[in-house]
Amino acid sequence: MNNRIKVFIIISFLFNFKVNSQNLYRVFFKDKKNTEYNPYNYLHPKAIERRILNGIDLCDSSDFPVNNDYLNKILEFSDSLKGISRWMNVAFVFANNDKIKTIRKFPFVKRIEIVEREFNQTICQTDSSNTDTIRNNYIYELAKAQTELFNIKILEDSMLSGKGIIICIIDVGFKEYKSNPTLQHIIKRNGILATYDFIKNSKYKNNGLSHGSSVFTCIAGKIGNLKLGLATDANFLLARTENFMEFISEEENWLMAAEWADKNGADIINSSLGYTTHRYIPENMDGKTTFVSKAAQIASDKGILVVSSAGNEGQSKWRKITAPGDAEGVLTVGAISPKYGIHSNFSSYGPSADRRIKPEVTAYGRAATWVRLGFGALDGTSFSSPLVAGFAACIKQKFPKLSNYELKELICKSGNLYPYYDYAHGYGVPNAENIFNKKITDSTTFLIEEDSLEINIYPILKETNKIKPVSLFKTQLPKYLYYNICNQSGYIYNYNVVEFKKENENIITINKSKWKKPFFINIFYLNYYKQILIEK
Amino acid sequence: MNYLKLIPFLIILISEAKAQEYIMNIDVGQDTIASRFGPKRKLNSAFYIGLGLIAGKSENKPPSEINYGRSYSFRYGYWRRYKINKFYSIGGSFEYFYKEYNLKKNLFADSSSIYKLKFSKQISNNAGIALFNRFHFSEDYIFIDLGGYITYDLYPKIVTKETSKSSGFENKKSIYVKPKMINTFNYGLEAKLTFDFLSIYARYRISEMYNNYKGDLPKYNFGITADFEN
Repeated sequence: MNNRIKVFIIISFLFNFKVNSQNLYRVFFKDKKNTEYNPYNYLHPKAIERRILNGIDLCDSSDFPVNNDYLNKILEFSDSLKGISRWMNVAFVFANNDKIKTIRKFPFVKRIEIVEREFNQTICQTDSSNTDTIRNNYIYELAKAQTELFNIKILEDSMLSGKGIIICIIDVGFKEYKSNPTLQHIIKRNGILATYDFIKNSKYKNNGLSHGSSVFTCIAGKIGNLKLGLATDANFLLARTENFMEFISEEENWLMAAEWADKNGADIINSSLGYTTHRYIPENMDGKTTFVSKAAQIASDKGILVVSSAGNEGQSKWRKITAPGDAEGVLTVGAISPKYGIHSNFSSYGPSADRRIKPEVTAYGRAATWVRLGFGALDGTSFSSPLVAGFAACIKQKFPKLSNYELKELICKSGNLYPYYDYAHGYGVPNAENIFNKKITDSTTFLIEEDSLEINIYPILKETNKIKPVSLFKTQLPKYLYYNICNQSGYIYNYNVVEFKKENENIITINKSKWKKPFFINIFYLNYYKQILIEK
Repeated sequence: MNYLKLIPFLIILISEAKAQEYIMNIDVGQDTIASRFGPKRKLNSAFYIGLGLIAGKSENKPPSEINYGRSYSFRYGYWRRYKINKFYSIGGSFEYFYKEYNLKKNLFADSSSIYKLKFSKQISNNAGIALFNRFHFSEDYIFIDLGGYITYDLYPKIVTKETSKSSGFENKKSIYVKPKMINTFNYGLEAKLTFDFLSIYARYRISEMYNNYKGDLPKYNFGITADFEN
């Protein structure tokens, strides 16, 4: 046979494989009839405590198991079971087209969704710079600055290091985390409560990448007395849910990992993963459409604070935040540049597709962490998110009675820009000082001149309102002026960051005719905030 | 030329004169551009490969007669469509279209030839474009395409292998590159039935294959193509 024909036949078989091979399906059940559930047998005492604290029914129907008879019935017609979810009352099964047609006819099946197979990178890491020892001045300074940004001194003075808090890290793998020198203090005190690999369906055995290990360092890493993350005394659950390049969707794994975290008493979930193209479009980022965002929202409703990276799509066509960062209950973290103190170009922009504020807060998008062979600086919102997750654990330790939503609100309010916000920085970088000491605001900093066409704003730096600058990496808090134009419901039309070159010529001129009246101008300058209403 | 040296100083002066710099200016209304395509966007374009067979009767037998089982075509290309509405799209494609006719007779052999024909292949390496109307059925997964195509044969050739009638083992291989008798410019009609990413196609060549030659090779070509997702 001609060689070309042989090649074609092989290729045809490969395509045919796609048609006849097993697809992954989500089979949703109509009910949970005849199932029994005892929360005290199923849930970790910490999970029960969290539910009581958040006023969640201990016998909520979503916690009941999936009906075993239903499961057995569909297993007769499917090829294998990938997993189940109590929360969504769904089984994930591999089956071919013919078999799924039979399953669809069962009266207890509510609906079936096929899981699209796509190769897609989901981790929110862009580049890594040189790895080096911690003695390297750049890495050392960066490591110091990434925690100082949150005001680590106040946290340390208050003995806050996430003690008693359980953080679940959902990631692509934690390769060699046991030999990671920044995590030895946690390993020695058995601070890793459990691990699970949802790809292999077994205890985690050093599979996958080391991305999760680097993320772990940004939550709780410590080398000597230098903290790389803030929650050094927290306990951890490690869940691997991803392959580096996604083949069959791992959103199901994310859901199962969140359930596992809930069951094991997690207070906080950190997810440095983002689901975007091929499967979804930016308009799906409304917190209600993507499977993983629905899962994250349920986790939030169970009282867990889900901290998610905003995504690294700022320079791509996508531009917007990624799932599950779009879910309402999720604390979404964008990235700022350590060098300039403002939005990092790669960090995804908000708002959510239904116009909610996203990301809510920011942290450094370049972090000093452990990168398998040594210390290095990694870029990406993957590392902003764990920095904030570590901070959240400290605040939760300080205020254990706070619900996850109250905790999220408190963190947002502690943002260095709060009450100002925009869709690149959210409320800014959370700062412990703003939680423990009331934030000073003084609107007299701004002098306003207005005529029928324009409004001129002069920020005046008075001697009395010169503030103590927050330390930034090798720099001081930049003297940027932030302002946005928004409507009465808070939706921003336009936002800006301005740097004044000359202190005596600080002026912002806004053309009033450009925006539909009434609108608000929100201005933030050196810790001072003012809102101006422009009426008809 | 000395004035040029002043340019950097002028630039510095101008930048110093600016009292403020907008580091970020984002217009959210313009920033939020609605996607033009939905989640089925991948259906709007794809690369494809295909294999086909030759069918139909030859004209002026026997010189144009072919061995059907050994004659085939190969396609590799890219198609794109623009969806007009739920039921209809227009689209086009460009492709590399390889066609090999396994001839029963050596077109160049005379009656006195001492060689026995082992094979004679007419090979065309076409670059082609096509336009089609696409009619949608069953939620964008089943289509019928009707359209036309044009191909240009970049490198036509006839490869012939013969063996000596007397000895039985003396071979002769002849390659006629770009023979003038072959029409390099061809066009025809195409119909295609698509199920998701697999298509069955049929092509009918309207143009004549040969110039100044009484006869033509079979005009039909049918086969399957498979899309690669973008």
